[in-house]
Amino acid sequence: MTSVSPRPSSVWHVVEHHAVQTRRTLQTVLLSGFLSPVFTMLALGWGIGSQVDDVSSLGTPDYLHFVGPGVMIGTATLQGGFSSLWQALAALRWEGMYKNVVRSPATFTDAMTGRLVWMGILNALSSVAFLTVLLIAIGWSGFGALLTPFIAGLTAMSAAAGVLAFTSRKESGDGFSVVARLVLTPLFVFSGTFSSIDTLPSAIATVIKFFPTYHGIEVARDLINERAELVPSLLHVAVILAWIAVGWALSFGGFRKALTS
Amino acid sequence: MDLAVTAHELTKRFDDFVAVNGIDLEIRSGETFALLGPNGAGKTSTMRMVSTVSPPTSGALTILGMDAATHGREIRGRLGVIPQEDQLDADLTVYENLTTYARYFGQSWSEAKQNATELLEFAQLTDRADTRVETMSGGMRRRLTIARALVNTPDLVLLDEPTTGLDPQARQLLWDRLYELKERGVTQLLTTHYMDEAEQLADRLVIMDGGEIVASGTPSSLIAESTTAEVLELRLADDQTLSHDLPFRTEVLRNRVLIYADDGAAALRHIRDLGVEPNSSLIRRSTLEDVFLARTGRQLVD
Repeated sequence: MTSVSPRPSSVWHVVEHHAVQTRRTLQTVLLSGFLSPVFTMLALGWGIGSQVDDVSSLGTPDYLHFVGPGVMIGTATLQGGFSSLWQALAALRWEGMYKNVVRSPATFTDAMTGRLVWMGILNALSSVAFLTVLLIAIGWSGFGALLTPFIAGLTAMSAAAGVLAFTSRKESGDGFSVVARLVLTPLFVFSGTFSSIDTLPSAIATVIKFFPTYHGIEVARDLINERAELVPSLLHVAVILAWIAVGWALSFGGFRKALTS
Repeated sequence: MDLAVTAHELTKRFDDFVAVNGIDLEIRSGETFALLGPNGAGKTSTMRMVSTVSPPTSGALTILGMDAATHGREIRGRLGVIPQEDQLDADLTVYENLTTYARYFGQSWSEAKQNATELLEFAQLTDRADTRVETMSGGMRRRLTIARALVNTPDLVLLDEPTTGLDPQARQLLWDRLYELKERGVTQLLTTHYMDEAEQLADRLVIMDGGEIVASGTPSSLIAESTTAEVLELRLADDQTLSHDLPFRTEVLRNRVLIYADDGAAALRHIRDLGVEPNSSLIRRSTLEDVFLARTGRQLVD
């Protein structure tokens, strides 16, 4: 049988295709991927942060150092997850983008891999802009901070992959708003974005640790605050990578059925 | 004889439904070959297997000398596929639709741009290069779809119902473009349920029904083998009937009667001699529709 393993050159062509499409909606992408989280971070970090007297339990010099990385990774989760709902369904079924892709030398695995890689790149780029504002606000915090857009990109990919596993089996948008409200938004809010998960009931904190957003925030926060250690950081990244791998594998059947039956 | 496509016992099943039931095909390089049949005949399923998008359930399929089961990427790199629905990138311009798609075939951006310029000329869309697709008419979208399918200068072009939904002018323009491709030596595999389209474009064809091939040959040979040179179409009053012992093959349809005779005028005289004066009569030459009716007992387009 023909190999269905992704081919790097074909994956890259899918990435390019998404990039050309995104040029048309750049303003919206910038607004949701950069300006919105920047405003959120500054409002919370400076606004609410000024009301926080004691940040010693947070382990950061001030609240902005705490909430900045949280908002960066939380936003990547939202962006990645949302992109795998209506947009992904349109590309897979309604608008036929991926049906065209599989009529070329590319395969359905190139299409799904390219989509996830593009989400990683887009969110990493948005995070570079976000990081620039954050570093202006908190000051230079070391070279480790420069790795945080990479973490944001991976987290976005993991959220995109997880949701794509759901969307790839759908023929309509039924249930999408439930995923958005009951999965993505809570992940953004409760993954340690605005406060330590230690403040949550232990059962909820345990569940939160299962998801990639928490791990992305932990790594990004450690990097921004110059306290990252190699092994724990790698373990956090491993969880994120596992989500990407599992999400990819679970999307495989849905993409294959939609594009090659 | 150089063959572009050979299929043996090609079968496609979807659970219990058999869409294509063990068909054999041989398509010669450079010819235009049509799959003719009603909706649900198995044409599109066959096309999707030949485009190596949908794997056969069983059977052997060789395309451009390569096994479809093992060389999908290589085969698709030499195919141009024009699907039933245009599926263009509505948010992109005409030009971007071509260049973006060309990249999938390994072309550099400069190659893609050069090809796009030539293809826009071929499709008579040069003045629309910067137009966004969502603002274009159906005919222009169809021409762009055809242009996009040619970005890789394919050896084999697959056209699935290429003119469905087009007005007569747009249809004729497309036929002209397809004839140009044929002149360039490009092999074309076409599905259609329009008999005139098949007669106009195809060198050879098969008629499919219920997932099987019920007839094959050139349009003229199929007509000569399966039916008479002319057909007399009659519309009768409600209280009129025709004798069952007419010396012609007769098909009674919902609102007309078809009488197959090599000399339609003589057949009409014979009917009138029997004392039957139809409300209207028409003598025409036999078409592939008549072949389909003769082979299956049903009309091609219901």
